[in-house]
Amino acid sequence: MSALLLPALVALPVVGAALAVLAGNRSAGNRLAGWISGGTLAVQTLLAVALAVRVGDSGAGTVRTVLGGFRPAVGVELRADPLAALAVALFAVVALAAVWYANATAVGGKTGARPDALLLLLTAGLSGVALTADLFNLYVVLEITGLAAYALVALGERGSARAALRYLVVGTVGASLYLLGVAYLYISLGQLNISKSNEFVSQVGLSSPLVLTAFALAFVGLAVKIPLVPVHTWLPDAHARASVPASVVLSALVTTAGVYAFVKVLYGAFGVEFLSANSAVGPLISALGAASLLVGGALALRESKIKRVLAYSTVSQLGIVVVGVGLGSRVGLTGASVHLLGHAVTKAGLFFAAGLLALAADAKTVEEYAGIGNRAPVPSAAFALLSLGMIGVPPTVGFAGKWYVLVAAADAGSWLLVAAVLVSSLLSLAYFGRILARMYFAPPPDSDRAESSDAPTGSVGASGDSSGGPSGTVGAANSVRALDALPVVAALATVALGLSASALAQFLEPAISGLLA
Amino acid sequence: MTEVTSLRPALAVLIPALAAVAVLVFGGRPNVRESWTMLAAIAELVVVGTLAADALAGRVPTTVAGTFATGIPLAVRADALGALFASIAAVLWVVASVYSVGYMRKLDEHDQSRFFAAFAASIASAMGVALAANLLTLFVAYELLTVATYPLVAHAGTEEARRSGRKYARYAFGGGVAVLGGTVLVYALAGSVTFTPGGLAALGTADPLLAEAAFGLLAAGFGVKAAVMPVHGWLPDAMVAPTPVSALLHAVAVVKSGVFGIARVILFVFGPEAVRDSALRWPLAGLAAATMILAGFLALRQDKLKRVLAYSTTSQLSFMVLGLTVLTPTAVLGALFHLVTHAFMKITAFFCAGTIYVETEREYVSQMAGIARRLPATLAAFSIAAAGLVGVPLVGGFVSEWYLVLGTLAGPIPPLAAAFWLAAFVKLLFFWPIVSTAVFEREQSDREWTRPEGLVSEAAPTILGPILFTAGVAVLLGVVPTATPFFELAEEVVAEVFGP
Amino acid sequence: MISVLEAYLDRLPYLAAVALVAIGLGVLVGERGRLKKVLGINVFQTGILLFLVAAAYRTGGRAPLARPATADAPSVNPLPHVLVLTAIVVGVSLTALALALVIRVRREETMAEEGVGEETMGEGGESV
Repeated sequence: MSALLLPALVALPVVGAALAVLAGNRSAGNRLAGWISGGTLAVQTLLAVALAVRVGDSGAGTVRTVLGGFRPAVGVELRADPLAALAVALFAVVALAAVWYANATAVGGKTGARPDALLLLLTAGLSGVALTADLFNLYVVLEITGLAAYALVALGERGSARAALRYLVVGTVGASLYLLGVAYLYISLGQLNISKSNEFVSQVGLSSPLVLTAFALAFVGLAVKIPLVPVHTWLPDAHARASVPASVVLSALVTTAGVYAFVKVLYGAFGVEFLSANSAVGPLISALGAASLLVGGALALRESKIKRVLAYSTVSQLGIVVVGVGLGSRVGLTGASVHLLGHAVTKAGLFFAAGLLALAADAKTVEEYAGIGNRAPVPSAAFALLSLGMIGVPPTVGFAGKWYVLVAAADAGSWLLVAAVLVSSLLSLAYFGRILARMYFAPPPDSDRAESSDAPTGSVGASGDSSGGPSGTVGAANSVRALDALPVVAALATVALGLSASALAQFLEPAISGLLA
Repeated sequence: MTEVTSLRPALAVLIPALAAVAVLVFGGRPNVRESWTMLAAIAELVVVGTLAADALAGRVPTTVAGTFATGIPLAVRADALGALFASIAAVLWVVASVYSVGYMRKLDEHDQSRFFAAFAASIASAMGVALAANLLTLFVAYELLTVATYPLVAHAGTEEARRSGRKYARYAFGGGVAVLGGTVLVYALAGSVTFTPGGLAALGTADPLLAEAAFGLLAAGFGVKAAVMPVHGWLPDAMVAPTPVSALLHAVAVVKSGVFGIARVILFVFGPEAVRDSALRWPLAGLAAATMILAGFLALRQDKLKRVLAYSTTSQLSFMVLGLTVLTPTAVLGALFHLVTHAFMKITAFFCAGTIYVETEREYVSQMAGIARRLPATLAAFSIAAAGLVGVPLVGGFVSEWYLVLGTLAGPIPPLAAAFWLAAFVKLLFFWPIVSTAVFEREQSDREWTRPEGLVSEAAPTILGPILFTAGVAVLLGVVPTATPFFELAEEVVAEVFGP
Repeated sequence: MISVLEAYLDRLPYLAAVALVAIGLGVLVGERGRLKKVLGINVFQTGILLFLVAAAYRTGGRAPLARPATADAPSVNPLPHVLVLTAIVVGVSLTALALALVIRVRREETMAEEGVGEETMGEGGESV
């Protein structure tokens, strides 16, 4: 059982995806694919929880499996520390929520392809990113993630295919650069195991040109995946034009996996000595994080479409995480992990809430959110609470992560980084604040707009949905209303996680120590 | 001073928080909803009363609710300073609840459930500010206070209200960011953010430049809510809120949380020793002195009664900030007692302004002619409050200002005492016309009057009762100040910080 | 002179890899046509794969499974070949997806030009 647990977490969603395709992935009326995907992800969630328990119980804080019975230096090793276990659980839960949302709202329309199989494939790739301990294998799982993500984007609204293609081109170049970096590293080290690379890198020379070139290539490649400013330009279009479940997994999970991959490469393969030997690298990473933080926030301010605001907010929030990663300290990495998890939960909830508000009130822009608090109270309240979490109002997890990163930056004496994180709070306050103020304290923009639009009025879930669910029946409306639970649970989770930030940090401690060893 | 583990400090925060939830749940039934508010307010008063009694007896009830980020405890405790602020808020919450019910119903306001829920949530946050055991917990509550009060400022939903709300949020969250920056610095420098009477020793040995930066950020951050110029701009605009909000929050809870934060920072984080050596001490004192006088002159130019009172508040808050920066034991005692006396006097004044608006729909000083004939009790209470604010003996304000002046004269720069006299004089200049217009002038036209002139028609008891009560307490504080627990608590704080 | 030439010949696979990467990136950046961009990616990736294979080569080396290595004739490193095989599979899937997307984009553009309404479009209906 133990030997199978880690491979199962990657293989199960792949099998599920295949079954979902066989079950008639393309017909919207067919519920079977939905049940298969939901069931698979539910099992995946249970397995992830089992893994978390096992990792927490094990003395060393890690569970490892080498595939195919090779030596770890040759064979592909899967390895789970608390961070990986947490990530796998997060991926499974959010993907499950996305599948539910997709099936309840019939994303894809009458003729469109259903996202179930792609969501499962994505989960497999993401779990692989979390679990793999092999540099080349990381490339493969990143590309599996990428493939599923590009295709998911293309299932979105008009113009999504173009956004997907752009995402694909940029993402593939990034992944290829990473592969080139891995090739360099392989040439210099002669092996690909992440946790073993550490010592080999020291032998080759921490500042040798070969190692530095390998790092530069891998860093640029992964910066595209995270994404960091200035290679973030693909993100807003891709995240905003995708359908809601796709936006959720892209913004909450795919970016998270990108950062996690970067952490693995930086701390796992190159090691913390690499950072101390090349004293410019850490500050450079943090500086790029700070740039993302500020540029993302400033760009979010200028957007009028809610989903684009959320997309730029992702760029900004990941900046905080990368600032923490670049600091190279225990507190910094803890903060990065907490904030990464917190951002994923919060952003998933926000995209769900935005989707439900679009369904219930046909509101997609900041203007259209005027007075929506009274028309769709539950998703609005969740949206408001989640926004506060994103701004970093205590005691949400958004604040906890930010606090850790701030303390780490202050400990390192990087006052400019402290200032950047503080300024970013003001920026996020500005772009979320204008939305919140409209939601609750502005009259609806034009009260007879509903009649003049061609959307059917009255029933929740049917308005503005021209490509429609299979039917606009009361049953469909009820199944949509049940979705309100998603953002509400996310909102409660951000507060609960924030209050238990210390416990979370304690759980992650072995993983952080492992990275810094 | 011994710490005792007790759930009561947490209860003091939770009662209003639960009241907020209950108000939302029973939103559809106003009578049930208001019963919950009243019940919670009374329970809160009892709990806080026992906390204050404990603090006076030298016990510090403490609840540790868990650990927050980086292992800092999320803890509430009722030391003397915390109990002082908490008891003001608790007493005035009961009074303000009675008044708001009367006020909001009489005006038939919209979204009353949201109003009462946000009101209770603000009290919960203010209690969190008062009872926080460390700077991080204080910051958490301070931010939540902003979140909870924002809906109250923007309540009307008009363009003006939303603009004021935006301004308020910008100022308050901006200040919050400064507080956060200062808190991070203190934690990085001292390794602890727990409030300690006399200050954290580790800060004394830290890099002086960074310590100054931390002090500057904290003072600036709390200075926003304390409406110290030049970051006072939100307060007059926030007066678009319904009057009970202006009365309790923008005269007491919110603005005092700023002053309270400054007191915590000076007395319990950096300590008097470190602040005396700080290069920022006199600039802060200078800003406070300037605010006291300039805000008075700005008040002279206002016609809207609530804006006059808002500028008066701005001026009075700086009385306390100046007292805290002068840092003689007497001045600090005066500042802390002024926290109490000003609360009772200013809430009375705001209640009166609200009553005048509810009964006559007049909100400008120029329309006040002859109002005393119609609302004699209200105007009497207003006159008492105004007299106290100016510093007339036998009202509480005189006592606290007396200590402030004495303490300043004993301090390193005695001429600063002149600022208090000048500010009090300016107050006389703007309060006198209000009272004289209302009492001695006859009204020009009776077009708007619905009742014959001269007929006394006071407001309903739910509105008038609270006014008379707070005015009574204000007098009590002036006649027998030392007999009140507030004064004892303030003395206790001074003893804790400066030694007996 | 001969030795310089030999040195270049020895590094010929690397030079070819660099050339392929450069050409691929050049096409990707310089060309506006979507199909050409996809081709550019392919060339670019091929360069990287060539780089890996070249690194695995040992002078006089043998294929490891066909003939076991001896002291004077080492086997070439098999691992990079395995990696390259995997990467080729990844590359093929990406190309397939990219081509499908190119077709979709083209179809959407044609419809927009002909003024066909959104509702009759294949898969791209407004979704929320």
